[in-house]
Amino acid sequence: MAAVLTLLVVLPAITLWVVDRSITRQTLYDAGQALTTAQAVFLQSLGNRAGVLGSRYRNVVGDPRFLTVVRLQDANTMHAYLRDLLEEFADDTEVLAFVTLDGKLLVSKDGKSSGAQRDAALPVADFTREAAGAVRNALGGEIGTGNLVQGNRALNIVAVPVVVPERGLVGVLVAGAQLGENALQQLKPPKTEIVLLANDNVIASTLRGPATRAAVLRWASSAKDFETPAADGPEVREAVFNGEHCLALMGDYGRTPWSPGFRFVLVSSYEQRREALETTRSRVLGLSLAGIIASALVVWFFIRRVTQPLRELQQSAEAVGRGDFSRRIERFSNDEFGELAVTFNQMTTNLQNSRVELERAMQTVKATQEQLIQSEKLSAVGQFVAGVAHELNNPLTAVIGFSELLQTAQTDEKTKGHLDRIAKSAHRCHKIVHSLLSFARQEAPERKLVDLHVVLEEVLEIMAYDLRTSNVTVVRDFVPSLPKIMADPHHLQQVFVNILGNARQAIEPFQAEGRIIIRTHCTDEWVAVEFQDNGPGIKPQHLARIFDPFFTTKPAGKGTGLGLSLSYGLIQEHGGKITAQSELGHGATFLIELPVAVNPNPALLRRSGTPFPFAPVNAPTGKTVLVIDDEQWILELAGELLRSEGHAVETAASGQQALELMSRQKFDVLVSDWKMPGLNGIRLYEHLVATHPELSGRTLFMTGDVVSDTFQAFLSQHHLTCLSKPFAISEFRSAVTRMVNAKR
Amino acid sequence: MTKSLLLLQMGLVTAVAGLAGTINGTVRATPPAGAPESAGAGGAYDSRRYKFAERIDYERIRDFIVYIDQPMAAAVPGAPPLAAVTTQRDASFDPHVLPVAVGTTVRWPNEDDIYHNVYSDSEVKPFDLKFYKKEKVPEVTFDQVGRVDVFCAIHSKMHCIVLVLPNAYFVRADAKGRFVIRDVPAGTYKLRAWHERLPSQTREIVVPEEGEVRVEFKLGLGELPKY
Repeated sequence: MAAVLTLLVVLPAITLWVVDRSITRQTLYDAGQALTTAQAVFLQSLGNRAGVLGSRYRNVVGDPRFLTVVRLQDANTMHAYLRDLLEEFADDTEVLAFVTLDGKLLVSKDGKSSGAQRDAALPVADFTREAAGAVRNALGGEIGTGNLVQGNRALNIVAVPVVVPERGLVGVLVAGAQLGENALQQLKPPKTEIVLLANDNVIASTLRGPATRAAVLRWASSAKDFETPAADGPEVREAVFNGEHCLALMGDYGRTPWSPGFRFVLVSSYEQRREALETTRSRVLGLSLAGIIASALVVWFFIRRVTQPLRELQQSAEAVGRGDFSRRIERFSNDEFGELAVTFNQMTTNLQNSRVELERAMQTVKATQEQLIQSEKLSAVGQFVAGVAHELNNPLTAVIGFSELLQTAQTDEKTKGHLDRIAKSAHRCHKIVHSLLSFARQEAPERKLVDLHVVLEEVLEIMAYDLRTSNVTVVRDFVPSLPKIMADPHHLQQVFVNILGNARQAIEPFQAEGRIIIRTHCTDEWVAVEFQDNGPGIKPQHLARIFDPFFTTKPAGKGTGLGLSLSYGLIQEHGGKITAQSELGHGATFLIELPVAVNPNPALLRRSGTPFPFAPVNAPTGKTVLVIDDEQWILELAGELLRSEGHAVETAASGQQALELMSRQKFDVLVSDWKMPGLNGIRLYEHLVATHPELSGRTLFMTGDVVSDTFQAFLSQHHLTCLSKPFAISEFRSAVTRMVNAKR
Repeated sequence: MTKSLLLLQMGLVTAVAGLAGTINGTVRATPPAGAPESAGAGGAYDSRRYKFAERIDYERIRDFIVYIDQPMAAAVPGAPPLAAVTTQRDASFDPHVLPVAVGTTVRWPNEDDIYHNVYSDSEVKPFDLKFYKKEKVPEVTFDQVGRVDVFCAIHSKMHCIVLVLPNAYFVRADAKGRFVIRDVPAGTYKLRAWHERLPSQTREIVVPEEGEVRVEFKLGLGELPKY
């Protein structure tokens, strides 16, 4: 920019200087030429003047009166005549004199001479002497001319021969015409001033001011080298006279062998030209300055137009590089820069979109990962819990079975009470195990159309006592009606009980008057229920972990840490979401969202309810039953029960042993454990189908596990039934009775 | 015969003496109406080139001659011859206008140191006195009535007029234009006022036997009779 501006300034400046120099030179040259021409004109005019004077005095000489006077040869008469003539002419002629052939004036006795002068300071005698050369010329018969300086006068001299017809040449009439200021004014070429110099004095000048005259005189006397005239024409010099810029030229005129002539100085002021030049110069300077400024502005504009967009583009690119995609470049023009800006903006937008998608994907991945982790946790816990539950089921079956068996026996009241306690405890254990299995999702969930409000009301009814004793008020903020959802109402109850129970426990030590607000709302796709309590809230560091299994803030022994974890699993199983929000000191809010049932088709529902219904007990007896189980007390319990029914019972501890027994003996009904070491339920059944097809239809399976999907499918395929351990005696009896009555 | 009788009669009248009156009056030159008063202002013509058309300075105009323009027995027989002088001084004639009765002899002295050549080409009296300085005083007798212009052969500006009149009853008006002609015999006359550059005027006057007759002349281009 600076370089361009410097160039912008320097180039016109140089051009200006060159042009100025050239114009100045040209102007001076022109002025010089004009002055040279003026000199030529001046010299020519001087020549003409001499010619005019000559003609005039030739006429005078030819005048009969003059000749009459000449004939008289009388000095006085001649003097008077010439004096009259001077008066008559009343012009530049200063001196008139008549000289005789010997070159002398006529002189009368009283001293009058044959000449007349206008000014007494110019003696005729001296004049005649000075003009001797011209007179000599005239005596030769021709008109003699010349110049002389007398005192402070420059005179043109004309000497005319006087011829009287009858006598011939009798003398010469000499006239001296002053080259004075009047004459100079007439001779003066236009725009030129003339100064005549002689004897280091200004003798005549067209210049008005005496100061200027003096200046010219000083200049002329200092310019001595003009003494030798330049070979190639007159030399024009610059000079300043009285503050005025002039061109001056000096020359000599009328230098003849008999007269020194005089020096003239021609002065031509070029002040006007100079002023015009100055004006032009200042104008050109002004215009150039304006031009420079204008072009600087234009250049600045263009540079700005180019660099500004580039800079903006660069900054935006840097911003994009830093990850700031919010910047957009304004489309400043319709040229390539504008297109570049548009393209850049598109690029930025694309990058931004990609990044947003990437972040979304990352979030999804993270969420999935979290879910996966949660699922992994659950599944690990589930497997463990399932194992434990399975192990517990068999002994529980025995406890329940034997206690029930004892109850049926004849005992005293005290023992009956004890047995009842045992049975209840065993049932309780059974429930615990059942819930553990549910948690492990190894129990088949129910699916039916459920009204969430109904479920909530049931739960609140169950919880009513606890809540009331803890002084907790429940506020229902329900929408008038909710769409039905596809769910397992027991599971939902379990979830709600968990949440309400937690809330109650949290509120109780914290608030004297607890309040739980239950809100429901729905959209077309979702049904949501929100539990808001005014308890102490959940610490932020805990909030992330509340759905983890075995995470609890309750004192040891009061909570398993499975409640919320279980709830999470259950809701997820329903395709819903459970989230918690809390601010420490301001309670906690649990939000459960569940999908609205879409096109509920009962055919698609999984079979619910107990594996098989109770059959009427019209028990045939006397059948042989083979019971297969790897648990000794199950075998004992089953044997006891069946025998009490009047059946013959054989037991086998493994599938292998059972096959051996069947090869030796024929059985009516087969009761088998599902999960056994060695030959398991499926393989045993396959053997049965192959070897004892009639028995395959009357096989009852028992299992301590949750009925898995594959097992369920197997059961449906072969129209088999399965009894879950632990079972009540009544259940076992009816199941066996159905087998006995089954078609062969 | 009649003429001589008349002359005789007039002579008688004069001789009677006492039977004569005086003519007095003034002569004034008036510029034409509308002309500038002063001669100094030349207007558009105040240049050397038109100097020849000299304007008349009506304020300072002089040399008015008033005379009885008819023959009278002026020249008394036996009286000494009439004489007058015109001197050449400083290259001019003095006086410029010289009125003389017919028959007067005029002397022409040259008081300058230079030569003059007095001559006249007039019809009334041509003469040429040649060059002379002071060595002689030539004389010329004017014996015929009329105007005689006299010049110098050398000096073109030298000029004078000798006005030869029929009788002796003439007078030059003074600087204020006043004139008096005395001892004019009573009678009726033609009185003429003359100036070299203005039209003359003639009046019929009756001179009483005793006393005066007053005449006012106004000369000028504006006073010419209107046609």
